[in-house]
Order: sequence, then C-alpha cells, then structure tokens
Amino acid sequence: MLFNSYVYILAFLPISLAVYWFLIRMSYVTAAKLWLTAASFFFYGWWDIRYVPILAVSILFNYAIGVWLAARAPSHEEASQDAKAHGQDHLGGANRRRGNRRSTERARRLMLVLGIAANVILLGYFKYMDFFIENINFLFHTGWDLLGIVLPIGISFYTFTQIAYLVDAYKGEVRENSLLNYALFVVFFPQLIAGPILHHREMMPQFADPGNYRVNSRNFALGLTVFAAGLVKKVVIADTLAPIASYGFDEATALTLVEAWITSLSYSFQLYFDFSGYTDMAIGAALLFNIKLPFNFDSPYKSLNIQVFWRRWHMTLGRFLMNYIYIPLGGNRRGQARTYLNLMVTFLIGGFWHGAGWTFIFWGFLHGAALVIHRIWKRIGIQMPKLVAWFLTFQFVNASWVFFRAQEWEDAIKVLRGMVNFESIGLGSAAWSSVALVAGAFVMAIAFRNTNEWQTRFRPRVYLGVAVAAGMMLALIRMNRISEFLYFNF
Amino acid sequence: MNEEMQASAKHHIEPTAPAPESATAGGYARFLWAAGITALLLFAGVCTVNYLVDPLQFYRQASWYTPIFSEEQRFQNAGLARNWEYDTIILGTSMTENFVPSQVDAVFGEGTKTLKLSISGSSLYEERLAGEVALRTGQVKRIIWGLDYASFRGGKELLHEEYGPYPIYLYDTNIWNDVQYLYNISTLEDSLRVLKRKLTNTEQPAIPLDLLNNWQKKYNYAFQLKYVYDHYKQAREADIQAAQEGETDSLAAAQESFEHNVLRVVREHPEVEYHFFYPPYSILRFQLWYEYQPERFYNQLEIKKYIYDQLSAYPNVHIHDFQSEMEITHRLENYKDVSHYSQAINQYMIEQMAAGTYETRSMEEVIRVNGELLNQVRNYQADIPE
Repeated sequence: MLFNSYVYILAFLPISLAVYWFLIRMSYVTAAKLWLTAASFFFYGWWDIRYVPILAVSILFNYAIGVWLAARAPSHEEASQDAKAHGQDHLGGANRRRGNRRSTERARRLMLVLGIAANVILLGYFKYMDFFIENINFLFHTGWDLLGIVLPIGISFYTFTQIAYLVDAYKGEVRENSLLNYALFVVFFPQLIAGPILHHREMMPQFADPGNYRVNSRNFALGLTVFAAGLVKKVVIADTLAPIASYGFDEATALTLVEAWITSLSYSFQLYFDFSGYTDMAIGAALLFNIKLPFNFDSPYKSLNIQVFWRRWHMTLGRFLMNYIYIPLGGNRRGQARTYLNLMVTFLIGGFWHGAGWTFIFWGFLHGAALVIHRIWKRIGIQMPKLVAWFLTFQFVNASWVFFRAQEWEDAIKVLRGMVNFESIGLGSAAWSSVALVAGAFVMAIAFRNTNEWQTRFRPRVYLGVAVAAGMMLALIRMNRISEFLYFNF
Repeated sequence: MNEEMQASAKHHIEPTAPAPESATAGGYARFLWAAGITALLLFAGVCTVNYLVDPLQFYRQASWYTPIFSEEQRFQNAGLARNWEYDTIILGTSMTENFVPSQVDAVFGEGTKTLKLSISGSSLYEERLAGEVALRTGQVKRIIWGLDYASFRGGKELLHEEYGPYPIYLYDTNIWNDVQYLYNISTLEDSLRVLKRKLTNTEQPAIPLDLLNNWQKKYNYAFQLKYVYDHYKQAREADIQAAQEGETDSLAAAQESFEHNVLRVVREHPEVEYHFFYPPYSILRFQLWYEYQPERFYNQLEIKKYIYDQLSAYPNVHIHDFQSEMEITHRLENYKDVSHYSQAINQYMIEQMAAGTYETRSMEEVIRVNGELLNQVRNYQADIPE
C-alpha cells in the first residue's frame, strides 16, 4: 500500500504502531519484533501476494550466506597475528594456520561471489529479462516473446541492502545471529519499497537497543511532523506538478520554448518533492517506532557542482554505489584514467538500476561524464563564481532528467528541442498558473530550509502542531487526486 | 564522487539532534494535543458541511438548494440510484445515453418510472455495480441493459481508473468508507459552490434528469456523412494498428465477464424483467472488425449464442438484437461516427423492445440473425471518398 493512502495512514500505520507499543509495554520484545516483521510482510503483500515468497526466500538465502560468511571471517586478532607472522616465517604453526586460512578464504570468496550472483540474477530476471529479450530481438531479428514479467515492488532496494550485508559479513564487519532481527532489518516497512537504502550497521543496533523500547514523546512528535511534511510534499506539491510534466512529455506533439521549460522544470521539481517527500514519510513513520533512518535528500538543487549533487540527491544510493561498486573497482587509487573509468562504470550501473531502458543508461552516462568533467575541472583549479556554478549544475541536472522521464527517445528529443526553440517562444497551451506553480516549487526547493534542517531545529510549539495537522488534513482531503508514486519501478 | 563522501554520508546518519533542554514532556504533549484537536476540528467541519450539502445527493435528494447534477456518471449514479423513485433502470454505455426516461415511461406505460444509469465507456462490472445499488433499494421491476461487446473485454472486474481511482465506496454497503466522499476535495468544492450560489442568489436551473448526459443536442451537427467518413478512416487506422500489434480477443474472458456481471444479477433477481439488447452500430463498424479484427468480430457473434444459451431458461429475460437491421445500420446518416446512432434510433429501439419485434426467441433465430449480419458484412460495398 502507498504511504499516501487512506488505508496506510488511517489503518495500517496506527494499528501496527499500537500493537507494537502494546507488546513492548508488556515486555514482549520478541513478540513485538515478530509483529512488526509480520506487519511489514502484510504491507508488502498488499500489492501482490505472489511476491511475498520472493522476499521471504531472498531474506532466508542472504541470512544463511551471511551467517556462514561471518562465522568463518577472520577475527581481528587472527588477522593481525597473520600479519605479524608474515614477517616471521620461521614460526611453522602460523604457516599451517595460514595454509588453512587460505583454503577457507577461497571458499568464503566463492560463497560471497555466489551470494551476490544470486541476488543479481534475481534482480536481473525480474527487472531486466524483458529488456534483454527486446534488445536481442532488435539486434538479431529474432522473434522471442516477451515474458511480461511484473516487477516485484521494492526488489531493487532490498537486493542492494542485502548485497551490502553479504559484503560486510564477508569482511567480518557484521554478524547477525538472529533471523528475526535480520528479517526485520530488511522488511521494516517504512523503508521497504523506496528506501532509504539502509546499511545494517546503522539499523541492527537500533533494533537491539533496549533504550528504544520506550515511547519517546519527542520522536513521536517529530515523526508526526516529518511524516506530515513528506505527505504535503508528495500529495500537494508533487502531484500538482505531475500533470504539467505529463502533458509536455506524453501528450504534446511539439513544444514552444516556454512550454518545454515548464515541462522539464515541473518534472525536476515533481521528482524531487515526490521522492524526498516519500522519504520523509518513511523517516517520520520510522521515528514513531524510535527508529532513525538515514537522510536521503539534502536540498540537492542547491548544489554548486555535480559531485555535491550526488552527496545530496538519493544519498543512500550514492553511498551504496560508492562503497560497493566504485571503491571495489579501485576508486581513485589507480590513477586518473582508471578513476574516470570507475566513475563512468559506477554511474552506468546506477542509471541501469533505475530502470530497464536505454534512456536510464544514457542518463547514467550523462552523470558519469559530468562527474569526470568535474574532476578534470577541479584538477585545473579554476574557480567559478558560485552563481555560475549553481546555474550550470542545475541546468545539467534538469536537462538530464529529461532522459530519465521520457518514455521514448523521441519524447526526450521533443522536450530538449523545445527548450531551445527560439522560433516559437510563447506560452503555447501552458497556463500562467503552471508557470506560477513551477516558480513556487523552485523557490521552495532552492530558498527554503529542507526537512532535515527542520528536524534538527524541531521544537514542539503549539502553532507547529496546528500546522502539522492542517498540512496532514489538506493532503488527506486531496487524496482522490493522487497519482502513483514515481519511484516504484526502480 | 570520492571517498570523502563516505564520511559525509555517515555524518548524516543521525537525523535528530539531542532533545533541547527547554522541551519538556509537557511541551510534546501540548504539541500532540494541538495537532490532534486541529485535525479533528478540520475533519469534522469539512464532513459536516459536505454531509449537509451533499452535492452528489448521495444521502438524500437536494431539498433546500437547486441540485447540481454531476456529469461524472461514475460519481453521480450512486446517489441517483439510492434516492430517487423509479421501477425501471437503464444500464449500459454511451449507446444507452440517448434514451429519454420520460419516453421510456410512455412506451412501457402502466405508471412506469425510468431512471437512466448509463456510464459512457463502461465495463460490464461498472454497469453491474450501478445496477446493484438500484436493486438494493428493492424498487426495480425492469432493467433495460445495452450489451456492448467492448464492455465485456478487459477483465471481469475492470474499473476504468485511467483518470483517477474509481469511487467504489459509493457503490458498496460499507458506510465507513463513505468518508472518502465526505472528506473529499471535489465534494468540498461542489458544496462551497452550492453555498456560494445559494447565498448570492445565483443558482442555475438544474438539468432535468430526462436530459442528463443525453448527447443528441451536443452532436446534432455531426450527423452527416462527412463526419462518419472521417471517423471511419480513424477507426480503420486504429484497427489496423491493433491488428499489427497483435491484439487478441478472448471469448472465454468475455464469457467469464458476462457470467460474473450479468448472469449473476439475473440469477439473484428473478423478480425483475430484463430487456437486454445488442446495439446497432453502423455496418461500417462491423465491417472494419470483420476485416481487421476477425477474431473479435466472430467472438461477438459467438457470444450471442452463449448468452442465449445461458438466459433462455429465464422467462423474465428478453433479448433484442438490432445488429442486423439494415434499415438502421446501412443508413449512415443515422450516425455521428461509425458506431454512435442518433436519439431517434434509441426511441425506435425502446418501442420495438416493448413490442418484442426484434426479440430472439430460439437458438435458430440467434444463428439466423448472426448469419444475416455476416452476409451483410461480406456484401456491403463501403463507398468512402478518400
């Protein structure tokens, strides 16, 4: 079920909260965790019950591999002893131990590779199979039927979360001996379908910390506030912008200059308010359970360069890509050329992760290229005036979203062509109200404090309580106009 | 992107700052109370206004203001079915929208009172939902139901939600989900419009139910061959494209939808007299299907046999087939496009249904009428200026 739905806000969330805190209060901590896990599976099954087994098998599989890997991970003492022994080869015992370790090491490595491969294959089958078939048909003129696979919601997110877990279990950095804790970490419903992409290191301790087994009125008030803010961002702002973007991308056959800019800008703001609003709802709901999720957005459109943009946009994805793709590829430690290549590969994968289509890959390519150019620029060392830097960054991001949004290449070209269509400048079929809406969204994204900053300044003022309730009620009453949340097929 | 990012990402893990000293538990309690009371007041206020005005007349007929009937049939029909008096209802797509209830009353006589619950572009399931609201009032004695094969397609519980969620809460028997009607931005806008007009004395006369969603007047200009030809070309293009894209048609699925949405109603309500009819699209429409989507064409014939088979045992069911009536289908001036006939045809059909002229009373007759249509489609020479 969607966060912005009656059933979630008025039934699912209150019931799961009430039962959870009741069980905690009765000191049935395990039962409370079981309840939360079951509720999360229910939440997931609401979309399509057939995908519940996929999630369950994925969790069991990764948990088993993780336990196996962690049990055989070198302890820190062993690792340092081995390092010492390396310099003292006359110690036969250490040698033998190292010999054993090497064969265990090979087995562990193989197990890690198998584990990751299984996750990637699962994701690949559900998300990319039809895309590959289409391309093979195109290239070799074959006539294979598409399988018509429906993407299990959130699979991109929980696959990444668990790959990170396997890698860290392999490194010996994490060890989880409770299937319940592990399952709860993966399925915890606020983050299950659209992130933030969690890292076990920041989550597992929270579920285990007895300090969190008490209702915390601050977290409750704050959670409510953040949830309401997210709901307003999603339902009131993003959903108002959505039809403007849809018209320009999907319906219009040609666009004037102004129309094209309204189209691309309204999508850039729609996506930001939609996704960051959804993340806020996740963060807010988790706080009601005393769980702190990581920030995922930090006013990305205020960035002065593309590198900073990626530290502020979908931050948990950026973190994942860096730690589990870019750095393993060698990061920036193998010379300039290799650094650029690593950046490009990382972002091509990142683009492809967002969706099985060439426009997504191209979008990833654009960002990879921009990051390479940024690096070269930084090496040259020319300072750019801040305003110019911001302008260039925002224009690049805005233009690249055109490929991200367009369902067909032609649509992307149509919008971009319109944006430089100086022969036909006028308002076209766009309304002044659309211009005003886009301008309003722009000011909100650029000039205001974001929800994260609000959180750190949060004070439980009465007028804020009134505002939170009013925002929530405004969003609720508008819900018969909601559109589908955008980030689903990713 | 580089390794610095890791540090920066870690830095963001803690979304909350430690609680400030000044914020006591009492502060949070006051905050939560303020939020709770505000929410309740807003909710109660909006629901009360919407309940009192009730612009869709879902709870009662409008009494203290001039009603504004919504032309959004999927939203308006539930209120009409719940709160009006009638004994005959009309179900179906745009092919039934030009029936004039008062004329239907006159034709069937005996104090007949007709309510039209047509939904343009509807699925059988949507038609059933509307019919069931009416049936629950216990006053329905007769149902006139137009059977468009297009409504059978797309699944047995198809709801058209391309432009927003279906207001299923208006059609079920759960009173709690009606809150989606009471706490609803569109309802509020309508309520406020009603109040504003009432207070400023600018009320508009209501559209009479006889003409609500009747489109004859609106399209008077289009009943010319030129428009039919233009539309023929568009329809042909669409059909060719559908064929190229490998669109298929499933007789089994259509039968399933019929069973789920029509047969079920007939079974559950033996007290009602049913008049099902097959609408007479123009011969051009049939011919396009025959040429470009033959599977769909033949399924349309085939399902009539199935339907007859399923319904022949019910003495209270009458099936009228107008589709092979050349006097209608071959006279293109009866149409505004390849499928939509004029109000005069609706009037004619109602008279013939009451008289039983076109009723199919045996399987042989069903097959004979199907055969006629097939012959017509094969022999008709379309004369379309390119």
